[in-house]
Amino acid sequence: MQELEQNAFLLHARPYKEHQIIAEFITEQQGKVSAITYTGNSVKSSKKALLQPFIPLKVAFKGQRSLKTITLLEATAKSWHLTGNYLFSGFYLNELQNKLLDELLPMPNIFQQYQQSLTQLAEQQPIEPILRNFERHLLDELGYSIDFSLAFACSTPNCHYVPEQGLVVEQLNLRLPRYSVEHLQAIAQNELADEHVLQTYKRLMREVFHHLLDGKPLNSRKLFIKRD
Amino acid sequence: MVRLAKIAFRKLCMKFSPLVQELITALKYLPGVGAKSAQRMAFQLLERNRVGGKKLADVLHQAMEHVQHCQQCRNFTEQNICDICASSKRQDRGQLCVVESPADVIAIEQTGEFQGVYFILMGHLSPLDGIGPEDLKLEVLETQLATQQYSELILATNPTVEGEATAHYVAELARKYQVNISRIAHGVPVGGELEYVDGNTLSHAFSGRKNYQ
Repeated sequence: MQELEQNAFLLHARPYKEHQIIAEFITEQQGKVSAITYTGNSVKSSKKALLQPFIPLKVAFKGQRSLKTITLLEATAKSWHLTGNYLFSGFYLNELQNKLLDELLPMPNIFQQYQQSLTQLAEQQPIEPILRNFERHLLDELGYSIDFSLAFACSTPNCHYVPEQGLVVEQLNLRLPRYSVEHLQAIAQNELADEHVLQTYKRLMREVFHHLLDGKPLNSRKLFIKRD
Repeated sequence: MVRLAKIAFRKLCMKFSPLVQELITALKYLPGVGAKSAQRMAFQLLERNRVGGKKLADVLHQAMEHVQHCQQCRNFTEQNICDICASSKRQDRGQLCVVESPADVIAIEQTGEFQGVYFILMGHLSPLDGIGPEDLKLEVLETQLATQQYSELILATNPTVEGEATAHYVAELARKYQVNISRIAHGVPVGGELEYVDGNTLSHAFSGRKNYQ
C-alpha cells in the first residue's frame, strides 16, 4: 500500500532507549500521530535537526498500531524563528494539542489554525489574541464550543461558566468566577482590541481548559510568570 | 512474541543463585544495559576479574555516598565547591558559562578555549516533559549572579528549541544584574560539507555570519 505523505509539525519528541526517538506530530490528514524513529548518534544524522518543533515537515508513517514508524521525514520550508515569549507561546500551543487531541483523529482545521498561529507568532503579532483564537478553534473541533448567545439575552451584568453547561446567568449565591456580559459579547464578535476583554477571555479560557484537563497544570504557562 | 521471549528469559534467569540474580538485576540500572549484557558483565567479573569487581563495588559505594552537587555550579563533586569554582584565577576572569549537563563542561574544557567558571542546569526547560524553571535550580544561579561580579554570561545550552527557550529564560533572569549576555554561535561543523548540512543549521550559519578579517 502506498504510504500517505502529508504535511505535519512536531509537537514533542523524547528519547527512547539509546538511539531512538518517540515523537508526536500534528498531521494534516491523520490528526495527532505518535511515531518512533532511529536517529543514531552520528553528528551527520540530520534527523535530529528535523525532529524539532516549528519546522514544516513532510512525513509518512507505516504500521498498524498506534505507535507508527516514520518512513519519510523532510522539511518543506525553513523553520519558524520564534524567540522569547513567542517561543513560549508556541510551546503552549504544542502542549494544548499534545494533552487534548486524541491520536489518529483527523483534525484538518486544527492543523490549518496551528500553521496560521505559528505564522502570526513568527511575525510577532500580539500574542494574546493568537492564543485565544487557537484555543477557541480547538474547543470547536473537540466539540466543547462555548455558546455565547446567553451573553446577548441575559439581563444580569455578569455570567458564570459551569462545565458541561456552558455560560449560565449570574446567581448571587453561586461562588463561581464572574464574567462581564459586555466583555463576553465582544468575545463572541471577535472584537479583541480592548485589554479588559482580553483579560476576561483569558480567565474564561483558563477555566474551560482547567476542566478539560481535569485540573492537570499546563507547564508552558510557568515560563510566562516572570514577565507578568 | 517479545513477551514470550521475556518469559522464557525470566525462566532461564531463575536458575541463578539469588545473589548472582541480584547482581544481574542491579547491573541493568546502567543505561544501555539489558538483561543479556548485565549477565555477561556479572559473569566476567565473577569469573575473571574479582579484584576489578571489588574495586568497582567500593568506588561505586564511595561515589554514591559522597558525590554531591557543587554549591556554586551544581557540577558533581565530593567537595562543597568543585575545583573549577575554587580556582581564584578562573573566578577572576569574570565569565560564567551556562550549560545543560556535566558532559558539556568536559566538552568545553577539552577545547581549552574557556577559562571562566560554569553553571550547570542539569537539564533544559521542557514544558511538555513537565520540566519547569524551578527544576533547574535557577535560584542558585541568581545567587551566583547577585554575589559575584561577572562581566559576561555565556549561554551554551544546546541548539535545540528547548535549549533556545532555556537560554532566553536565563537571559531574562540575568538582565537585571547588569551583565553582558552572549550566546554561542550555531553553524556548520568543521570538516562538514555544506551540501549535507540541514537547512536550519545553514540558515543559522548565514544569519550569524561574521565579518571576514
